[in-house]
Amino acid sequence: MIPVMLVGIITFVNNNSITGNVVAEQSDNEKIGTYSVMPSFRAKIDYSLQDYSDLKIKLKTAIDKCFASKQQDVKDCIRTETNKDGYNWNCNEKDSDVLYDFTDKLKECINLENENYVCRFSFDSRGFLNTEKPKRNFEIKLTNWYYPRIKAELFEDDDILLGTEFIEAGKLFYTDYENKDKESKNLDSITIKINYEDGIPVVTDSHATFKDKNIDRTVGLSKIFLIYKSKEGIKFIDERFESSFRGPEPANTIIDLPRMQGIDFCAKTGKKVTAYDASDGKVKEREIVYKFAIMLPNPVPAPVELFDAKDNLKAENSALLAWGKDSQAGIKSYSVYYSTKDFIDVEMSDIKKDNDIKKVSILINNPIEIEKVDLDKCEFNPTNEPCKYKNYGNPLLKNKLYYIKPENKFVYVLSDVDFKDETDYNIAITAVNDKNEEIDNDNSIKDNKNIFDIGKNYLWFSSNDDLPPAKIINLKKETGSDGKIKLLWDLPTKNLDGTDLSDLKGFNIYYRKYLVGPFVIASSNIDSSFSKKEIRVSDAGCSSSQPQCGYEMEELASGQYFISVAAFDDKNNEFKDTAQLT
Amino acid sequence: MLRRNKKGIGLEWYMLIVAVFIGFTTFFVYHFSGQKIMDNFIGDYQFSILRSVQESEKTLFYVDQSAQYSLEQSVYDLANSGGVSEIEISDEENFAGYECGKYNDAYVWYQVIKKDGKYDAQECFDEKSAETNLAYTFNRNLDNYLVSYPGNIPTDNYKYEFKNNLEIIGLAALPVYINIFKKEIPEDFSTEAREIKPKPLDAKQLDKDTTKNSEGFRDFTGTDLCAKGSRCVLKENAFQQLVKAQDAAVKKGISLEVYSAYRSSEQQQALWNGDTPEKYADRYKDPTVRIKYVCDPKGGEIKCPHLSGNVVDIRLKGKTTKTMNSAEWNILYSIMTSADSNKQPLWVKYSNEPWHFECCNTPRYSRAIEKGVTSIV
Repeated sequence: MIPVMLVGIITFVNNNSITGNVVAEQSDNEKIGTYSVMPSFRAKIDYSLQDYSDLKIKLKTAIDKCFASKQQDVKDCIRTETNKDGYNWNCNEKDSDVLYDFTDKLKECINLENENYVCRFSFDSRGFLNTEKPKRNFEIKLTNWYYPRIKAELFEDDDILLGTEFIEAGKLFYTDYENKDKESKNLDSITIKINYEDGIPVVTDSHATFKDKNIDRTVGLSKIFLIYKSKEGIKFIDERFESSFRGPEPANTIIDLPRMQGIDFCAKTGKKVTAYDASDGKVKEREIVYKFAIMLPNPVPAPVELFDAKDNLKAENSALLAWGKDSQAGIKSYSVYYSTKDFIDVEMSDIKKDNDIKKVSILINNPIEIEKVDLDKCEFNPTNEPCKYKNYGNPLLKNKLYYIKPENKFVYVLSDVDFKDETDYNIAITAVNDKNEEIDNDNSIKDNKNIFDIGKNYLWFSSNDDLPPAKIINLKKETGSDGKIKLLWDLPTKNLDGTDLSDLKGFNIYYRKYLVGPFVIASSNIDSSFSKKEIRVSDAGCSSSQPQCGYEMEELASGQYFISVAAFDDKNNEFKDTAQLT
Repeated sequence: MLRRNKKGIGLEWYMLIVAVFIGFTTFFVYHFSGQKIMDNFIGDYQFSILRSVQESEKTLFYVDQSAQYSLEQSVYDLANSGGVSEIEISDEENFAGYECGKYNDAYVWYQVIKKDGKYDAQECFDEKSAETNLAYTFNRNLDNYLVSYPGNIPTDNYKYEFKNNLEIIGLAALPVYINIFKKEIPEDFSTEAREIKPKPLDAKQLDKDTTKNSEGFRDFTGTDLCAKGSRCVLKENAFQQLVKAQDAAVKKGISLEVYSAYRSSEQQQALWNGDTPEKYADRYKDPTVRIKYVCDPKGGEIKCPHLSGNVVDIRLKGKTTKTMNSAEWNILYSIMTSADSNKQPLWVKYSNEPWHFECCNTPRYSRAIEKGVTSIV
């Protein structure tokens, strides 16, 4: 062993002004000292960060131009503007888009400002249309990462990892309806299986795993991604309680996602560097591609199609409106506009100011789903109830929305204070999103598709009054001292369907000789053998203050008669099943 | 009569001189053989120093090349992420994410909103931040290169300056240390040498490889317990707890690796001030916002437990926080919280960060012991 004392300091200078330093030390092993050097460096590349500013300016110019010119399809306009003059800003579709389709919407739900919302979303076909392989099976797996992050991974055919994303979601929870704002049930992982066929995604399974007393258990989750956002974070919904969360306000506030639309860009500059890329796992010369995105407000809901109107059978002042259900997300309601004047070319902003154009809003939260209905036939069974539509066996109630599933269309029974039978109306319908936006009907915009179009979302219609007054009750007779017969009956106040009678015009009294027998209540059998006496309400001496009507039958000679009385309204609607006596 | 040859007489003299020379040489050789007065030759240590200088030159060359590659890679990566770089792991629970988020994995530059019937394109991305973000991305890429070097080059060690079109200057804060050995140690490029094999700690060797200072801190940078490129310093007690945890890990066939430990208040202040590649002060100018992502050193050891020297950020050797799966986090947790001879946990875990453990009566450790738990917020 040789003790080595301080040997000295050697300094040298290289072109980066780095100084090396030697320190000797007392040592009983092979190490006799330490040499230290500052590893500072300088590196250079032919490149400028100015690219970012240039791209931003070009992008902003395109956005401003497309919005200023009120372009019909802003998204398409921006794409066009950013791809001209030799530029190519389009991105290639990639497998992992399936994952981002899901995680982008999940993040949007997480970032909603308010709480106690039900987020509703589904997969769209975000770019994933690999025609070479039309059938693909994906699986998204969510696991708790470290707080407050969860990890989302996309697999194909259960094992090939296509993408990973980390989301600030706190922890994975699921909930039933009762305890949605109370306790949280922790999950270990969530698995969502999606089958894509010809670019159309179908969720075949969504379930979660969790530990219950150290035993692994699973629970089925809502496949349409109803997710409850509470103070604690987001909670996936137990499939068994899905229907409770689907209920409309005030029970649930449902937010359809996404609320904005995005465009992603991949701007190519032609400049190249040597770099590694995980897509092919190689280091090679590559073009610098700038990836960025913009978010735009969702376009207003597209114009409604297949709009049709029919008379609401055996009902007054109402119409059956039918239209095709649109698959686009975010439609909160439909607006029906009607007026006796033509408004097909009137801008929506002016329509809203015009008091002559009436508006009815139809929320689509919870339509009554029906399989089959014949809108051209209905019958009363029994009376004093609305007419029941054939094939459905139930009445179509006023101001209710129905969804005819096999035909994928809505039917709404319009019955508004200002809507009257026998009036020629212009009727239009629009879909409205949660920001109360709808088509602008601005014909000054070139090629504007958001307009009223006859036969698609605008029509002329007039409904009929075919509802007779209800059956006469308490029909009786009095014989005067002069032997003349006086008929008495109660003033009818209801229509045949049980609604209030407001257009009673008079009564028809049918009579013919009756040979034998006591008083008999017979079914209607009024035929040509009957004589008919038509009287007005005033002739019967009844009114709202005098509820008993009466009429002295001077026409009758001596003998027994079969007599029937039926009420009729302004449109001469009369129920044939009349009150009768002998 | 015998005649004398004069030439023969001359030869005899020559023979005599040679014999004397050989005799003396033999004497000296035999006389001094078996006696060693020096185990090296003159200038041997100077050669050792020169070898270290050569080693340092290699290291500097490696750093220079790494910087060049990292710069190209970073320009490519940053463009791919739209000029945005998110800090994935920070001191605080909050993820220092990008405010406007992403669409289809691309960062959003503009959000167009409709207000009072008018459209307004709100700017999300400030192109001036591209330089800061390039530095952060560059630092991450450079660190990946540096930890791959056979020697130990400090990571997260640079202050960056940019010059136009486009030059980056990295000013190192800490030097690279190269040991000077008596003898040249051949470089071992075999893969076997780089395999991660758990091995019991040799207390004597550990003592030699680490340094203790007068304030009771133990510097174990460069040892098997410290991630390559990281600077690892702990209070002596904490270090001993770590050694015990490593012993427990070895019994399970694994090894632990600390990648962050004691942080001086100057280092924490540098983080807070934005003097590190994260540039917290540039990202979050408002201190009330910044404090959500990085702890203010004014808060002391309670708010910034790494200042205590009793805290480690730790993982299994050969893994990163991203590649650790939940089973591995569980194993780490079980090892770190295993009981010592006093039936107390060696360390307790901060519930929200599976890599963060504290020991030795930090406020969090004391609270956990009081509550009888080994994981606590």
